[in-house]
Amino acid sequence: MLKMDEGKTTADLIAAMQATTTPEWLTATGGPGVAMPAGVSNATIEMEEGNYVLICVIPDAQGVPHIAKGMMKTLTVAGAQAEKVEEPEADITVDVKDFSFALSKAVTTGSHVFRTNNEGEQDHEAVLVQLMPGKTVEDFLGAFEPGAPPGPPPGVFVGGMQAMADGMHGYFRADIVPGNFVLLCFVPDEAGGAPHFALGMVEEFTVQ
Amino acid sequence: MIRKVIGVSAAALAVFAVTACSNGNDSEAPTATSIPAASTATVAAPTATAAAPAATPTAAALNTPAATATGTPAPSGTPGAESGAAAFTAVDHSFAGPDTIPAGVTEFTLTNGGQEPHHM
Repeated sequence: MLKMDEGKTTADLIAAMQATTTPEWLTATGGPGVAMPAGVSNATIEMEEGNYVLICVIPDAQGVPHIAKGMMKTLTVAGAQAEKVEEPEADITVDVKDFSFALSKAVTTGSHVFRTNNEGEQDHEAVLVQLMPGKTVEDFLGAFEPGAPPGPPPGVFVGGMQAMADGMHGYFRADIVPGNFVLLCFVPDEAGGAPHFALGMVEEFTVQ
Repeated sequence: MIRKVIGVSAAALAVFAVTACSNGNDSEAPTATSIPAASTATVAAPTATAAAPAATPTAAALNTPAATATGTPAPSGTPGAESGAAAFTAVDHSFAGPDTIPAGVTEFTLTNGGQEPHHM
């Protein structure tokens, strides 16, 4: 999700995309991570009043991001909740910095609430992937390299937190089963464009 | 900022070599023709790495139990969010859900009713 400064609309967003500019009037606020077909993902975020736009930028087989196929929706946040909702209680914290992840404790089997804190100076995300048995994160990321053999990458996306601006935090819930997992940040670096995972934002962990 | 945000998907999302379909539910939303694919791809792919694998992995591909993001699927026709919860549904390629929610701590759920992976 993106928050748009007052007076800005999705038309401005579209114009900015066409001009490939970098508007300062957009703020990444986080959002539910990747939901596979028939799946569900979640994110809990404190929302301020204002105008937001929900977008999906996953590309299709031709490399066209879904947003370019119309996958965006405006959302207005206005007024107050009838009864104030408290932030959830997390049992695992993921501190995200430039350019690393730090888990507060070992992840175990079961249902967890992860609190994601962006303590860096850039936007970051925490994409949670369960790797196929016997596969490594190198195998997974290698599936994206030019010349990689055709076929799906050896892992499944199981939610996480979409990109959020520095200083922000949010929560996501996940039911964890035994296996090998990795947290990744795919946000491109502000200075050069390399995806943050290439700068070290890769955190593997195994759940017994 | 938009390059950062949209670039999120560049590599990540090159993962999702998937197929296409029709438009969304936002009257201001762009169409495939309103945003040239070439320029969009430039915005979305700041790195030179991303070759798109040919298919999206599924939980079955793990050959083992899969972890899941949890959440209550969105009921159809969700009118809005009144109690700190906002449910959205993604299909190929649009979102459905409330247009307005109150400020405060909000749990968003995204139910994917499409054939492709989606996020929000």
